[in-house]
Amino acid sequence: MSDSKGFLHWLFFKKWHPVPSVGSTIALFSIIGVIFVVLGIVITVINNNIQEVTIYKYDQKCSPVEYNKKCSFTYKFDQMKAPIYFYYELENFYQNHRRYVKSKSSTQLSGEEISLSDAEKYCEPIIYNKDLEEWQQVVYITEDNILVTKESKPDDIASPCGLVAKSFFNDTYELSLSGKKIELNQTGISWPNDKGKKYKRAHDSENTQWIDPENEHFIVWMRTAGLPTFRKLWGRIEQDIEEGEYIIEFQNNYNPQMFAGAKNIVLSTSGPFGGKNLFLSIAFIVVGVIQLLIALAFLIKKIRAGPSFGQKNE
Amino acid sequence: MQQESRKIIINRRDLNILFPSNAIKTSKYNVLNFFPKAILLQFMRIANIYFLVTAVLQSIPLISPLAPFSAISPLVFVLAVSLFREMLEDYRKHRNDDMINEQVALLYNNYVFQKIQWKEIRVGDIVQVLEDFTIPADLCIIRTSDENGQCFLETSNLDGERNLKTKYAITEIQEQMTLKKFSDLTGELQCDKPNNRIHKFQGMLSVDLKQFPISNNNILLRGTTIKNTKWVVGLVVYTGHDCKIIKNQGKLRYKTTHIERALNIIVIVILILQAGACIALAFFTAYNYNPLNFEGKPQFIYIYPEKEKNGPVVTGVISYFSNFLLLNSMVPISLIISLETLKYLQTTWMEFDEQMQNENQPFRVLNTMIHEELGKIEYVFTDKTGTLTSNNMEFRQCCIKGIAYSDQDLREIFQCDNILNDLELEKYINFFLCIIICHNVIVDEKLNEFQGSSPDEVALVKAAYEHGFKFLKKTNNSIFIKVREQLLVYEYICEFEFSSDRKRMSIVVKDMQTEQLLLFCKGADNIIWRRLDMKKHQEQELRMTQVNLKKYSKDGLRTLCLSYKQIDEIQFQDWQKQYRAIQNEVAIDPETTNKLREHESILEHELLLLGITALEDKLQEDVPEVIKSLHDAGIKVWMLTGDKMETAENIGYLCHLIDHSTKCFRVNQEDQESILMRFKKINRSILTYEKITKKTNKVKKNQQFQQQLQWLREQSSINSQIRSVHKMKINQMSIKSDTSDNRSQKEIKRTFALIVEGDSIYYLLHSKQIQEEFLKIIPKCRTVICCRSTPNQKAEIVGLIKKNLKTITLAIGDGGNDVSMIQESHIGVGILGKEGNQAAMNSDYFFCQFKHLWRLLFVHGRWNLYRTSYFVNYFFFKNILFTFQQFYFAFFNAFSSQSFYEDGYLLNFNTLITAVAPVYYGVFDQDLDVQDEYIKSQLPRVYGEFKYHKLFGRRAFAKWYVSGLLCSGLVFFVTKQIYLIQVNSESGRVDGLWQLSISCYWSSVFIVFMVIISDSNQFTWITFLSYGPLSILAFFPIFTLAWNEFQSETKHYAYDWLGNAKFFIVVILIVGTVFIFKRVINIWQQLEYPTVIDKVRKEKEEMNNVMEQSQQPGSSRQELSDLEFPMSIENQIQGVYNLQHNMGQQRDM
Repeated sequence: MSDSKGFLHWLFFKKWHPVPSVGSTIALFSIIGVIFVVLGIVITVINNNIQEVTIYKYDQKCSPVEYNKKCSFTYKFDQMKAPIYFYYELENFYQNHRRYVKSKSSTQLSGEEISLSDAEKYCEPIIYNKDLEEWQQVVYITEDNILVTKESKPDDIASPCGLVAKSFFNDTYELSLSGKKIELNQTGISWPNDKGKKYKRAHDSENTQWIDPENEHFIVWMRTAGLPTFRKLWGRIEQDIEEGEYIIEFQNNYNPQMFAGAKNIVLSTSGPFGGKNLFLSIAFIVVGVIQLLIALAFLIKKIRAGPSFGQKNE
Repeated sequence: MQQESRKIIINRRDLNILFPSNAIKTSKYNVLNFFPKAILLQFMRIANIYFLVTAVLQSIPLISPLAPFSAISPLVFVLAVSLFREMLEDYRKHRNDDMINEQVALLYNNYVFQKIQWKEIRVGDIVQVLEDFTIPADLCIIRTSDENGQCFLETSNLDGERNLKTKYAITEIQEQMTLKKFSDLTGELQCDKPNNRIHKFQGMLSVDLKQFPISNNNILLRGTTIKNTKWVVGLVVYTGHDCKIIKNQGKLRYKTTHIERALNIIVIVILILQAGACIALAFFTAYNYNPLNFEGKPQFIYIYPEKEKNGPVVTGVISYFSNFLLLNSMVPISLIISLETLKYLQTTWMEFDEQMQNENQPFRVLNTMIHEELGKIEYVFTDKTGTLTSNNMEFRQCCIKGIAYSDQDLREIFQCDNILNDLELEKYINFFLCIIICHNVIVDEKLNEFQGSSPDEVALVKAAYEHGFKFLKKTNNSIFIKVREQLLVYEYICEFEFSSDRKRMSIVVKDMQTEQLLLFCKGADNIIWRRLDMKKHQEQELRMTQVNLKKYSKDGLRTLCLSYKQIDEIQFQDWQKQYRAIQNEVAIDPETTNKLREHESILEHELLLLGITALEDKLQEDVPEVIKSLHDAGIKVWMLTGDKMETAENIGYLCHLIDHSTKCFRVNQEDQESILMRFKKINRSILTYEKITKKTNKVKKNQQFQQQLQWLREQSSINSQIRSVHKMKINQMSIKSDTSDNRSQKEIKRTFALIVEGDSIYYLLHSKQIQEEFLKIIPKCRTVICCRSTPNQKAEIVGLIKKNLKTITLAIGDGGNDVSMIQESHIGVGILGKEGNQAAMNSDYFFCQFKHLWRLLFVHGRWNLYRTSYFVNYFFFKNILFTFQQFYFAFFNAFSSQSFYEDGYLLNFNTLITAVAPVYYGVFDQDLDVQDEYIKSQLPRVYGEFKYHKLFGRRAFAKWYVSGLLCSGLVFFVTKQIYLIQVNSESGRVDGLWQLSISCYWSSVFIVFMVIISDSNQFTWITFLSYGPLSILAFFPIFTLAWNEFQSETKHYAYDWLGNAKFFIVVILIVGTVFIFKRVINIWQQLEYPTVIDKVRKEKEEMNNVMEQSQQPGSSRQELSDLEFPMSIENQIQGVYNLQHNMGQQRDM
């Protein structure tokens, strides 16, 4: 009895009244400050090891600029270590627009058929096949990105429907160095939990859909970006590349004038914290240094003011 | 006539059909109308309408950026909880009603009494009530089991008084009914319309062409209980909701607190800000809606493939509502629920406090909504009797024929019979006869003790009994007493009741031995004095009596003047005839009651003085200490009492309301002009005093230092072990404080007190000019005593202060006369004492001893004030931190009012994840360890300074609001900058919108927790549990993983980022940064702008250091104890004394 009372008493009434003091603040700030600075330096080192190349407005590199045509240009790359990630980057494309974000049917994307009312509810304003782009009405894009021609009824529900799917980015790229093709691995670019779970092929996919929802480029596109300038992973180069003049050949399908923006290519290696980002390392170092400075300031003030500092009565 | 009175035909149900039945209905609903009615009532509340509108907007897909359930589910939850509560409450009421309505009563029908239910009783019925049964309806007594027609009544349900009261049947009817059957009783009763005056009844019973006036003495009110009487038969007068007890049930008052009032304003401000933000965003949307950009190029073709049907205006309006929904959580629905929960828990926790209650002495909170107000009290209004004093009267002294006797003296005199000769005995006999004849005390035969509504009377009758003057019994027309073993009978003729206006009570009796008519009168001395026949007294006797009277008053004794007179039989009969006539008149027209009073007072003239009794009224425990603490806290204490000036002043001295350094101003003038002059004069003299003392004011910077010193000295005298070390410390400190001490000793600083008497109070309340002067003076007066005030005046004084000074008032009292005052003040505290529970039942808090007020204010009051303030501030902080990110995000999503957070996360931020911690803080946090003796001694000072420290107001709110804005900016922009390219892992895969939002979300959550943990002042294991495992640690993984399985935008999303180191690093960076700023600001504030709490903590720390030193072995104790105290004890006391007064006054100014 007395034991249990003791325990409850201890649980409820054993009290600490910690008051933040100057001394503890100095100690705490010094420790956290050092940790932050060290972390900042580590991240800076990691960052510096990441190589990143951006080819701005690559579609402008062909002349004349024509769409739905193949086009190629040369670009000088420095040496890069595998794995190198191949991204396309769109500027001023609002994938996070409310109307855009919600215009898709996750039921449909997971391979189930949806009713017309659902399509109207979720996919507005792209509901029927006739609402799709013209090229989308006459093809079927397989999982491996092969275009098969087919007919579709204009008044059937588009599958996949919605604005996100309709604006699917369909440029394709090839990379070669002096006639030797460099392989761009396009598998494994989507998140493991998406393919086959959230995105599933419908029963009669070839005839009812215009793209296989398990197409990884499609899955990558469907994960809407958070900011108006964004990258999407397109492929992976699994070999080191040497310095040299590379030829980049691409199918110039996607017109950046549609969104009054630009499309770029980014080749980048990766570290434990992903791509190159100076801000994170700087932030850590700055915050850490500020802490150390504050700790130092307090320390100096404390030494100068003598033992009464932080103990005075007024 | 039908309008003003009610006419009841006896025994004729068919003719009384218009009166309501005796059933009581307090329930609001029945099974059928519950849903529509309850829901309708819910939507009478503005908040609920607001939330309904939100929910409706949210259900329109065109407008809503969120899933409808995130708005509808909280509304449904709130409604469900409210409805459930209503349902429970109403069910309980139904049960209660049924229980009351289905009680058994005995109805006279076909010559027998039949059992029926209460609800079947109708007006005009004749019912019987047996002993110990409750009266079912208001009855007029027809017959009782007692041959004299008496019956006894316990009325604790009605007025809280446990003593028995006597009621009578009309003698003539009682006699008739012993012969007749009840069914033969025919006639009618004319009486008042139903009203709520418990002590008043006027009616006229006409039976067989004879009329009998019916007064309150013949009426049994519903709810009271028959005692000591076998049965009573009565005529039903009022039924059901017409009964006086029901008419008297107070309405529930709704009191708001300063926080709630400030909250209302803040909510409006926020709504305006929110509207501003929405309008700005709507404008941008409208501006941006064009699919073409500035250069005329298409911009949003992938979003608006066809030409948009809606024009920019419509788009803007839709966007306004969408953004309104997004920013809705700035004024969260959960604040209202959380605040109610918080206060409910605070209540429970307060009631749990063992130190607020002794055995069988409960502490209860009746109003759960006003706890924080307890921390801001500036005026305390207290009753005297039963509140400050224990209302335990003891007969101490008396003065007979100018000679003073103590209780002991009398005992000696009456023990040795032979000393007394007849003549001498006679003066005692009349004195004691007056005591035992002129009273309303009854003998409880079961318990064999005296009971009465006035404790003074009971004490007197008891004392007389002990001295051999025994009161035995009082019947309808005779009084039996025993004087020194000799049985005497007096015929009871009539009685003029005591009332607070009359301040006296008289009784006319006929001495059955001598056939002499006698009038005994006792009452307040000044009233009786005026009515004495001065010629028949010796001057010496009168003078000595006055001297003794003054002396008794000075000793704080309650005095009563006793007098008597012999009445001429013939004169009396004339008088009585007239009296009966007036009584009849009054029965018809109640307006003329004054005539009755006037006529009564004709008899009460030319009295002969018998003597004075003096009773001691003991102070309650710790009253002076509590009053001193209240004064130390700068609280002004007012004593409102019905007692006379001298007694009141004495009690004032006894309980330290005033002391010898207090300058008392007495106001007892009786006409308007002189009162005004008096007040003006007082005002001038206060100003003069102030000028003198201003010069010395500069000295007092060392005040807490002084208090600490004082405390050390007190402690050292208690604990000899640490004495020596204390001395050392005292010496050190004394040197520092030497200068100030000496100077403050020279000037004796005064505090002011105002003592106002009855008539002056009247003018005070009715003359604007006087009021103005009065209001100028009172902020400078630490104490005000109002004597001879009526219950209504008490309430009016409280109202005057409340209205004109805009301060928070507390009234504390124990009796029925304090109820109006308790209800008028911001906070009413009842004391459950001898005068019944009426005050307690009408209060917001009640307990049994005045001393608990100390803990209620200084501990619970202050705690609840800062806890609730923090809770509300914090609530806004977290919501602004959370919601404003939506606003920032709008600039990156083309103002499309896309929600930054996924629905589930949005919904659960307030309702689940961050809900527990602030409520925990609001109930349990303690900024000072009040168990500690030193801190305990400093609590009044803390309270005094804390009051002015605005914890919740425009400034504090702005501070929190701005920090919320800054934090949300920091979280959003830093996170955005770090996740700019959204490639966050070695796999090179790209993340999307939700990853950004979830990172911001958890940063916000952790900041919210970090802030409350840094602001918590006290940690127990429960704190660790509730902040740690029970909320954040549980919610972080559990909520994340649970929500991961829901069919939503973020389904299976968690797997992608939970294993990502960068996510955690970013959260640590952001939370760490906010922590640094928070800590630096805290420390800075502590060093540069310390609050009183900081100061007390620091002092406590110093004390601890001293204590530790004393425990170190080998300290040179011997040497130290040789040191002398720097000042003589007298000087110390004087110094500290002055200092405290100085402080008190400084606050007053």
